[in-house]
Amino acid sequence: QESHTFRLANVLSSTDVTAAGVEKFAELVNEKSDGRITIEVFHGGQLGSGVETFEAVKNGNLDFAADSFANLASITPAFEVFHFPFLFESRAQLLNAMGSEKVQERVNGELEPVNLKWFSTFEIGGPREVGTSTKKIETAEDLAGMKFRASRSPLEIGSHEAWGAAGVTVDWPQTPESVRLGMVDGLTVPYASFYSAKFHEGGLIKYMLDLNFQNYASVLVVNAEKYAALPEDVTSVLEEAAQEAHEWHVDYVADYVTRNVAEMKEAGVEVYSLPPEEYEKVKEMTIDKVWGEFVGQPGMEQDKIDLIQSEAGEIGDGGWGYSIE
Amino acid sequence: MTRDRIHARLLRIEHSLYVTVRAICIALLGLIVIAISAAIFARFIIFTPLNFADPLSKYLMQWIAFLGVGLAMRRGEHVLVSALSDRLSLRIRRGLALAILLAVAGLFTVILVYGWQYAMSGLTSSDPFVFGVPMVIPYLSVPVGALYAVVQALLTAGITLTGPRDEDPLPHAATQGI
Amino acid sequence: MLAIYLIAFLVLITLSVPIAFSLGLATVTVFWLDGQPLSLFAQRLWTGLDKFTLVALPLFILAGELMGGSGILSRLLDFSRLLVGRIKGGLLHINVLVSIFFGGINGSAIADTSAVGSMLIKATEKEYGEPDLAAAVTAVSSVIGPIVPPSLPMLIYAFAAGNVSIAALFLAGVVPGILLGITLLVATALIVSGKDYPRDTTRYGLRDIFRISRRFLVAAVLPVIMVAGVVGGFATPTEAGCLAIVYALFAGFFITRELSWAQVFAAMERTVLVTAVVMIIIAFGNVSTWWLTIEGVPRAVSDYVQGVTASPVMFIAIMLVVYLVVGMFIEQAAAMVMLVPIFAPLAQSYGIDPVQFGLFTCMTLALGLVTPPVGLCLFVAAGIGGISVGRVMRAAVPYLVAMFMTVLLIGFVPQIYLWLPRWFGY
Ligand code: NA
Ligand code: NA
Repeated sequence: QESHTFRLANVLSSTDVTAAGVEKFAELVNEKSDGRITIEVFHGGQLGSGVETFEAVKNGNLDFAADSFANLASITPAFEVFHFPFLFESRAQLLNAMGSEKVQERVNGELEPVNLKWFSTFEIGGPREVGTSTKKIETAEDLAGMKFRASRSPLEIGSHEAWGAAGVTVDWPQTPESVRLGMVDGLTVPYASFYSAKFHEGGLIKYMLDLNFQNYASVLVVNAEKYAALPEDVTSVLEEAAQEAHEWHVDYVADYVTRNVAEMKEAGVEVYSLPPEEYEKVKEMTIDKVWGEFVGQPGMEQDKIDLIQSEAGEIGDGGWGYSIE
Repeated sequence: MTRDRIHARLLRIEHSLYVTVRAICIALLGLIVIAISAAIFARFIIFTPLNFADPLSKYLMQWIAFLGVGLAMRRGEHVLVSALSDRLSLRIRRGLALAILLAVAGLFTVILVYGWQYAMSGLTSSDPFVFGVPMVIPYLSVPVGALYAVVQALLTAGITLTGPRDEDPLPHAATQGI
Repeated sequence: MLAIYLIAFLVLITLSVPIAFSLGLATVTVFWLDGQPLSLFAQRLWTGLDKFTLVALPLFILAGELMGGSGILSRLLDFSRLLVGRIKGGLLHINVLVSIFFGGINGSAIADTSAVGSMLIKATEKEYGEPDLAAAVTAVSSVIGPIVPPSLPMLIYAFAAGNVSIAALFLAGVVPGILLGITLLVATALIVSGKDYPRDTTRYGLRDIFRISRRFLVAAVLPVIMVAGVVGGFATPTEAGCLAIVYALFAGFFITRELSWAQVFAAMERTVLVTAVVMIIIAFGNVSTWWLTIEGVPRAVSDYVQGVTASPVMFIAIMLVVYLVVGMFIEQAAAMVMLVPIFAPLAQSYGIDPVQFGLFTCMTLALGLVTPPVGLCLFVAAGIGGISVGRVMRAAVPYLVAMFMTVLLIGFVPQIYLWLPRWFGY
């Protein structure tokens, strides 16, 4: 049996919560194949940005690439749909939908023209919350006129605009500085990202509104053609390892975010929720505007959304899987 | 055609190419200034971010950069170390210059071929922030810039071969850079 | 394979192949030998420039070029003459002082050498009869330009390192830039003390002082726009560059009225050329870095260095030698693009402040601009003075010694300048 070495480019930094899952995957592959299969991991964009590494996989120049799909809109709209505001209202729904075979089949069908296969998913540390530096958002109206840092996802900017705020695209590494300098009034990322980029230090972000309005994740992709040509014993090891690493990561993330939130509160950050009627108002205006604008666009067809919603199932009582108390 | 006439014609071609590409690059540079100024204006005066300005000006800069390689070649502006070649005789310097030009033409031929392939891979993707421009347009800067670089290298080689034999083709020291 | 890469690169450079193309040829060779996909080569070229922060580079260059073309320099010159013109060897002191002021407008040492040189080298020769000293002062003092903000090398550093804010680097450059200026002024005073130079005896009345200072202020606004924009946070570096261009156009057409459309065109052409020269180095550097990463070179280098020493001070000492040697042969932008991705993370693992390491890198590599065999500023100054590079070099030796001592101070006593970025909260 011949040995295989695969290169995996992970765009997010080695200290990010997704990196732990990627490392676990590499470790399990090695273990399960008795060292015959090696995954060489390059964290922190060493081999390039998300678009760049996904293109490299697509062109067959790299084996695996992982990045948040918030940055991939220009490569493929296939993942954008998961980013619809208030599409999921609990972690159970998110995990059910992203783990559903039917959903994966649908997305992989859309990835076919770009020769990519969706291989695995690593949560990024919760849904997007609203962090602000000086102004506490207490009503839906408070959001109007604010400037938020936005990723390269049209759906995130769309949500900001739905609130009457502006989404200013700033690359992630430049974001702390743009907050410090007041170029933006805040940002909308998961707790784990606030934490890993140290927004809680020095009062950079003082308020975190637990809005849970949008989900995104880090997706791991592989070149579809090259993958299909691999011998079965290799693919089975890879798939088993990916599944186990994913399950391990689900538990890991929950503890991780709970600890993050506690530590940020310790540092003086106020983590709070909106009164129910204000929450409903924000939810309604976001869905009205963003769904109205994007449903029906490529990769975001109504039947795909229907499929995702039916696979997502009930909200359940597990919330977002971590505690902010 | 006589050697002199070929020489004169090559020089004319080289000049008109240079003038054309220069005009394009200067226009692109002007566009960058306009785009960023508009973004500043929009942000401070009408409080609306123009999210297309940043990526657009980046694409324009990439075009300037790759097209500019040939321009700078024509002007002998690429930084080099002339410590050794300064000590060589004119005859050897001419040979060396031709060899360098051919190597550079070869390098950019590779970039032209694979850059074209790469650009075509951009047919299926687009940038939703810059008016949905297909990525093939920014990607084309690589093969198009490489094409001009190849042509310029070959033109310089032809001009050196057909020109006066006592003309020194190698710069003694480039003085461009930052 | 790494040996092939390094040897190919060095041989090509020695054979006078431009540095950018040497890097490209060496990389394409190992790609081919190694069976790496060449389509990736093209992709990495493009993505190497796929960073918005790089757009600041052409804008800073253009702002500096436009300012240079709008008669600003003569105002800086008058003001410097007012301050130090009556000292012995005044023209040499003026040369240094102008470079400090011009450094606040221009981020490039080469632009400084050619602008200041063409105004002062011939004039100084006429007055003192020593063209080599005039050219040497011009070249060495131009290094102040990119240390005082704004700075093109700092932009490239921040881009290549990715772990440091450009505003913090700019702030960090203020004290070392002035310190370097003072060093060169003192060195000049020592050099001219034994010489018999004629003195300038112009007397300035209050009205002259007022007029010259007012004219100076038109130029002094520009660095305030550029630096305050970035540091104060109302503009990204790119936007600050753009504002500076708008101001330079306004000043050139309406205040100094010395700017013409032909000059604007020439400035834009210059900007296109410099941009292309620098950008193609960055692009090839991006491909080469990819290959080195795949080969595990950065990891191997950092393991090796960490095996040699655990002390941050020793690490800085090692880097000092590396930078001085590399800087002698390889142009600054190329050196940064090749070395910074490897050494900036390493410096961080030694617990060295990213701002400190960035400033140290920019400053030490800048010495390469005035040391042979690739001392670009020496070449430019020698060209303007119409003398051989060797003569300029010899005249520059005392200055180089002085500058080296300043670099040692900056390298090992970062407290003397880090307080400024700290004070602004970085
Ligand atoms: Na400067
Ligand atoms: Na000077």
